[in-house]
Amino acid sequence: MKDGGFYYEFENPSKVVAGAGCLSDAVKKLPALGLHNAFFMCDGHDKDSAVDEVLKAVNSVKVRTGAMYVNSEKVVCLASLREMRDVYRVNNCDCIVACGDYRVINTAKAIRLLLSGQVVRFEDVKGINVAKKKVEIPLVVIPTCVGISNVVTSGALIKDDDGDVSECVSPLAAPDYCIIDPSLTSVFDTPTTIAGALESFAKNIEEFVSKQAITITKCMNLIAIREIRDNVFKVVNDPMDEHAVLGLQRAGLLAGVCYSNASAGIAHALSGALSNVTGTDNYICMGIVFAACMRYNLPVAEKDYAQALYYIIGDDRYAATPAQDRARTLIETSEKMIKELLEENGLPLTLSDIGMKEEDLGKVVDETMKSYALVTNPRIVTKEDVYEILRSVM
Amino acid sequence: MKGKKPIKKAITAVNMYFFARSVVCCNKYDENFRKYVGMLPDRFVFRFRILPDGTSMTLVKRDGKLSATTRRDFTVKPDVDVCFKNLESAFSFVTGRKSLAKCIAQSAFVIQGDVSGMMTVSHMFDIVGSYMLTDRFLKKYDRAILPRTAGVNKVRFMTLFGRL
Amino acid sequence: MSTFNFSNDVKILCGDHALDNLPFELRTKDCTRPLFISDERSYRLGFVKEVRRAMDNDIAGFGATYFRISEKASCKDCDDVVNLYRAHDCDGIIALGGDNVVQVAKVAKLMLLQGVGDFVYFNHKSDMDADKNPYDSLPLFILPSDIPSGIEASDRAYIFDEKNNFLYNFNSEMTRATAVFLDVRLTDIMPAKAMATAGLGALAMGIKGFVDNADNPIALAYATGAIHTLVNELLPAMRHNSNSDYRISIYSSIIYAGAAYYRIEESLLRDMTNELSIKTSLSHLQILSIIFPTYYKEKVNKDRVFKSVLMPIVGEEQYALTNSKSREIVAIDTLKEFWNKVISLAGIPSRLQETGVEQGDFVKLADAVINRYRGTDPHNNFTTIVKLLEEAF
Repeated sequence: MKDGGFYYEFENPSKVVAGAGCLSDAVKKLPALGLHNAFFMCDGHDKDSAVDEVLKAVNSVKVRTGAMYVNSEKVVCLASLREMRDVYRVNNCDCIVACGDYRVINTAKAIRLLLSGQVVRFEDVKGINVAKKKVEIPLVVIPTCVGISNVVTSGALIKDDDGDVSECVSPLAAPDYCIIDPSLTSVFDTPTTIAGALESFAKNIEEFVSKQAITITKCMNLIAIREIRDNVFKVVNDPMDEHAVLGLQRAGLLAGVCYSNASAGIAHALSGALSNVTGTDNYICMGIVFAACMRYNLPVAEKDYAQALYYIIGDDRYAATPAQDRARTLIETSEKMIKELLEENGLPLTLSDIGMKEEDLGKVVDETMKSYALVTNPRIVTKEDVYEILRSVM
Repeated sequence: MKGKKPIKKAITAVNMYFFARSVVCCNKYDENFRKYVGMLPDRFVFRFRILPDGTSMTLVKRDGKLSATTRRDFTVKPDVDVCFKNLESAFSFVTGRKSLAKCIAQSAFVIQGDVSGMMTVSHMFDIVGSYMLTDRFLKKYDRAILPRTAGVNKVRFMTLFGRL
Repeated sequence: MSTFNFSNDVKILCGDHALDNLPFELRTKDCTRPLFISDERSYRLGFVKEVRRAMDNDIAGFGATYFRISEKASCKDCDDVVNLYRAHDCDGIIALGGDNVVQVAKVAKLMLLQGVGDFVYFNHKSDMDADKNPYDSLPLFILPSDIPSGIEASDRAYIFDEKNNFLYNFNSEMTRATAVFLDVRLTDIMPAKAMATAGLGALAMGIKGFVDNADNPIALAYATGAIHTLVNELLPAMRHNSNSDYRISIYSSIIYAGAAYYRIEESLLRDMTNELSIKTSLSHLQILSIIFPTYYKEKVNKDRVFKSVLMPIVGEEQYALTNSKSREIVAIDTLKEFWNKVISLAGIPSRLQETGVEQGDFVKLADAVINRYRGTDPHNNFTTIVKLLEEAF
């Protein structure tokens, strides 16, 4: 009998334009894509802000703003989506333009799923590869944060009427067009930068060692890791460094492409669970557990970790590190880098710092075991393993 | 009949039938399996079927009890509906060469419904695999060998011959 | 770091039982009456039967079938396919076969989306770039049953008009495939010679794609992955040509290398290769395997970009140990050694004179290339081309 065999599907549905000052040229293509009356989504509309600049650019190519929606939810709920759907239809919009952080982008993807699938019931989009396109609703995404990796992913999180958060995965959630202009991210705060960079870094490492990783996704991850290494501290020290900002955005973009194809692993599952249970931001939870998760995967991912080390420490140090120590060195270097980023900005370093107690562990473990990200972790994860990891970072 | 793969269809149907029985058996005898069942809400319905109109298996949790059937009954709306894209994907799963998790990773099916419920069921099926398949087979296909709290032979015997 | 753009939404389905997902993919695109096209070779080797089997096992069917695509894709083939598509009111195309079938399918899709009747001679600069229909409303599924040519996942298509001795070059998203299926059941054991020429040709595409896409991280990843796989697996694939895993791995690398290579807007190398291909009747990959060593020695951008090509070839360890000033030389030498090894093992042509090209042809060839080339690099002139041909001779 032939064995299970290896099989993969690779897809990258979004068109991407990225570069300093690319916004003005990129928006010129929008009318040719059939966009005339946009449903504009953002996280606030202050004068002279990035959102204002985007609005002006979009309007300048004769794409009207049919309606505007200011997103305030971390995870969009069904009630808000229904409201948005009505506003979209009443104003005869024909496309969605989303400008903002990961929350706005998530909401934009969710509403596109509902509108494009002409969905009446939530069950018709809930799940993986369920949603089917019935109507063409172009989605244009313009991120204003660095390093966010959900820009081009094929999934959106939606909170149902009972308050449960579900992931809806479908290529229909991926934007048609993504414009990444670092000049739109010139005003942001350090924690947001760290959030993006940390999440992007962790995602890239996890995707690199994922069971579903293929050569192409691995190459993207390594390129992204190098971008983060080269640029994260530059951006923290000088937020106006557009070159460095673009580097981090490229890393986030690559993490997003790979996430849709190779998926993540235990760190992603664990940080998501911690975030849900404690209410702490995902990137802080990721910073706390990431090194421990890397240690957990070390027995099966040693060769990959050794390879990835080069992109963090460079030629001389890599050549000087004995081959058998490279994997551990990657873990130590990553841990040091994350600790530096968190400590310098007064962010928590352990689970106790975020108020976790021993009695809360069970809930986190249960949530983690329900995560879809575990399927591609290189090592098979059990409940006991998760308990151990959590205790080690208590 | 050309291309219809009647033998593969028959093997899939038979395996699916005994797989349903093994699920009920594990619920009866394995402690860890029951813990996972405890995590599912009451009246939880899980179904998997083979597109376009192939064999199906339905798991229902009601009043704390778990039942599984391969009878075609599409009147009950499932909380999680897993549709294998084709017979080959389903065949790899029911013959034990791929775990449910691997099938998810390789986009072998469409999942409609609650993904977290799906993951709980996936862990349950890993426990079933640990009983029904040999350690050597599990290692060969990179599948989890999970702790067993009941006798392997007992579970296998009851699956094949027992009254459930 | 300059602006980059990337657009390639071709879905690649690769590996065990990939073909069995075809009915599902058709359903997701609401394609219920696809036109199934192929050629004599694929029919004779039983690949058509494999596809029918995959479809039979589902309730999917075909709108029409056509298995008479000629060995060399022609304008008439495009017309026949378009007419058949319209006559049977089809809603998608399934193309099974080699480069000939793939090219015809892509051009037929373009003609259908443009609403064209007969094969009209488009100027490659005009209508193609206008993207009249920005959304993919004609699903095209490509099933390579021969060594891929690299064009499968690209936005290009070429049709040679024998009557007028002219190669039509189409560059448009409207030629883009919806999905490419790589299934070992649709391949046959390849002789080492064929594997060698294709592998080296793809490596050439990968390196050119790497150098020209240095600022585009996504395209760079495509090229890097292709180079890495080809350098590590081409020789084992040649030695164990019955091993299907190696075969599929090389085939997928060719597709990724092609995706990076064909997205380069203007390329002297590509135009030269096309003209030589017309002259010698050899494939694009075969010509590349012969002329690329000469080309990269003279033309490849000799700066930090080419130094980085060494990384996917030798790996991180060797790269780190190589002195940064000598990386370019080491890259050139390593590639040369690899190239020579493959050529000597397979016994394939390494000079243009072995392909039937004569020195007297250089002027005419150089003229044809210059007429075709639309780039702005002043170094790419008549003299350079003749020099390259002489060196590769």
